[in-house]
Amino acid sequence: MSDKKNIERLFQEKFKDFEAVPQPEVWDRIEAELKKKKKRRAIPLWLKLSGTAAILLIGLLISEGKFNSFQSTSPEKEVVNGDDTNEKDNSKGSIPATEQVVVTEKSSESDQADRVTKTPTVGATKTELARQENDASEEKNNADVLNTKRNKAKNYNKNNQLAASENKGAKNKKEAERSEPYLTNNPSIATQENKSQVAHIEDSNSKINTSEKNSTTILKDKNDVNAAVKNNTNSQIAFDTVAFENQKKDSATIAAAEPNALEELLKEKEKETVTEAKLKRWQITSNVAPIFFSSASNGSPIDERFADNSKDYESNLSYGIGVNYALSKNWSVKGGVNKLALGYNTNDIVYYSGLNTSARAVATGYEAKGSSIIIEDNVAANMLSFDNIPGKTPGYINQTMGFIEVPVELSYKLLDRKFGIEIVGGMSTLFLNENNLSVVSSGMRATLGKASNLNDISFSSNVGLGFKYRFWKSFEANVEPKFKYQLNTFTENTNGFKPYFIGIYSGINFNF
Amino acid sequence: MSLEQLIHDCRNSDTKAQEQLYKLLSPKLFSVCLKYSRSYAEAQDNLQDGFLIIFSKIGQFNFKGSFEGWAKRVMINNILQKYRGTAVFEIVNDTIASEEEIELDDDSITLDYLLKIIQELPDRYRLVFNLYVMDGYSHKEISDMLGITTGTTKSNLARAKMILKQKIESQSGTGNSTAVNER
Repeated sequence: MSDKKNIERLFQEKFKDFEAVPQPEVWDRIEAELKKKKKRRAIPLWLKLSGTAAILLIGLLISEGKFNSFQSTSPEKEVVNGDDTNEKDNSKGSIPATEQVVVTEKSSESDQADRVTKTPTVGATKTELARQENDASEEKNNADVLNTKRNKAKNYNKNNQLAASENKGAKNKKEAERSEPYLTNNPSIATQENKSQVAHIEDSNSKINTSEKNSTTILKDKNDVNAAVKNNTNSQIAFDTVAFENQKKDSATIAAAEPNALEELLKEKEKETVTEAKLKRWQITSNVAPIFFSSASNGSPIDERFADNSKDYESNLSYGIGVNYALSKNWSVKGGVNKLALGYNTNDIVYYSGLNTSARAVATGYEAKGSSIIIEDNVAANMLSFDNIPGKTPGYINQTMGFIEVPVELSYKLLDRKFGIEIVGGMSTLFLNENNLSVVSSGMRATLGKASNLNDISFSSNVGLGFKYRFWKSFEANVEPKFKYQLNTFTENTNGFKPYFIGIYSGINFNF
Repeated sequence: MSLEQLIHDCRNSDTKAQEQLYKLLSPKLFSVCLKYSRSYAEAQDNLQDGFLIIFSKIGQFNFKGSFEGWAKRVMINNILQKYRGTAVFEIVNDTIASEEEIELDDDSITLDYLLKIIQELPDRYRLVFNLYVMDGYSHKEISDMLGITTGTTKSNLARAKMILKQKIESQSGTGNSTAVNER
């Protein structure tokens, strides 16, 4: 039977119920890939972990001001430069064609001069690239610059200016920053090139520079050729930026493999319903943690004379409750309140009671509580042979600090199954609520008073790892080893004492 | 086991569930691949890649709308990624006579043959033809997906139909080639 049919209808009808079973090998390959993925995942997880930890640590150190000197950005700048060059490299491909066209319109100039104008038009930054890529022709170009008349130098200059403004217009601050010094650096860079050409290049560059100085007059020049060139360069610049942006866009779309228009459509269609009712956002946690206190360096907040004394750090217990709020599937904010006590002993001291509390020997880091105990560093006392002085008792100073800790932390889930792993970073505000300094020897303890250089409110920066196990629908057990670096526990005069503590927080989470 | 349960298990990378889901969806999705790809072999490659994406992104499916529809979009999306870059050079503006009607002997045209001539179309024509005719996307949507103008999509569609029509007409009556049975 023969009849007339719309071609679209024909295909639609024929393919309406079209299904096809692929070869079984396809599943085998998929399965193999899935298994490979599972295996491969084990390594990046640790890479991720260590990477994030490293970033957090670096942040910590920078905030501490230790690496201020390293921040002078010379390595960063280099990286930026490299990127610039690459971008230019990318955008370059599309440019020369139009340049050629533009320049050939200026029939008075030779082909070689075209090349000369071409380099600066693209932007001063590009000269570097051109030089790297094509040393020989660059040299030639420079020689050509020498040969061309002043008129061409004017063009060059104008182009340079326009190129510079193009960069600014592109809102790329770094590019602008870079291109400007580059203009002035031209002669010095040129010297790095082939020695035989140096003289020419410097000549040409200085020529360019001098004409640059005359730029205002040149700009006012109503020379026909120049006007034409200006117009052309303007359109060229417009083209350049468009091409450059297109390039950027292209690479962006390629890089972001997923966000395709189709995906976006899909998202839009389903946007209203995205609210994720399934996600239980709130979580209450209880936690108990053994706290291991220590200092990153020797030193003593009590008195500088005790800076090199050995210290014993106490292990304490911290406990508290917390609230977690899930921002998204992976990110959540943690808050809470913990009670925290820290303490340490400064060893190798001697003390004796004296009448004059203002004596030199009295430690300066605390407010005496009316008592008149005089403490000396045992090492110093040794020289006097304290055994001979009756009443000087060897012992140690015990300092305890109690805080109410209010942490605010952000966590990111690396693994969220029955067993979960997350990384946690944030800070704690520490409110001082206990402050005691006492001297201890065998069988005796005497209170010295309060340390005077403890801040009422101080902070710590926290980094940690969280492991959890969901043993019931809404209940999880968790263990979170955390490293907390105290930032400004002491007002001043810590004599290099940099306290930190490690807590292994464990507890139960309840989701709702 | 319900589809929902199956999806949940797939999220937990349960291999058995993944296999089951594959068996459930692959006939439908493979037909999509066959239509959108250049050949049977490429269709299988695309099916494989697409399923790997489905399994890795299955956590993003939010149970609104049909899962099959979602999977199909992922599949098409993946194929578009692959062929979108390979543009054909064409003159957009010349208008093609819209001779849509075709006279044919209905029995002589097999599905296999139609599939074969679809696969033989240039990439862009094939994508546009499939998106518009087979999957009901509008020219606007297609132009967004492929990053081309609606003028181009219309022209591509017209050319695709013209090529298909010519092939059907020249083939009518002669023996059928096969595409699906190539295994």
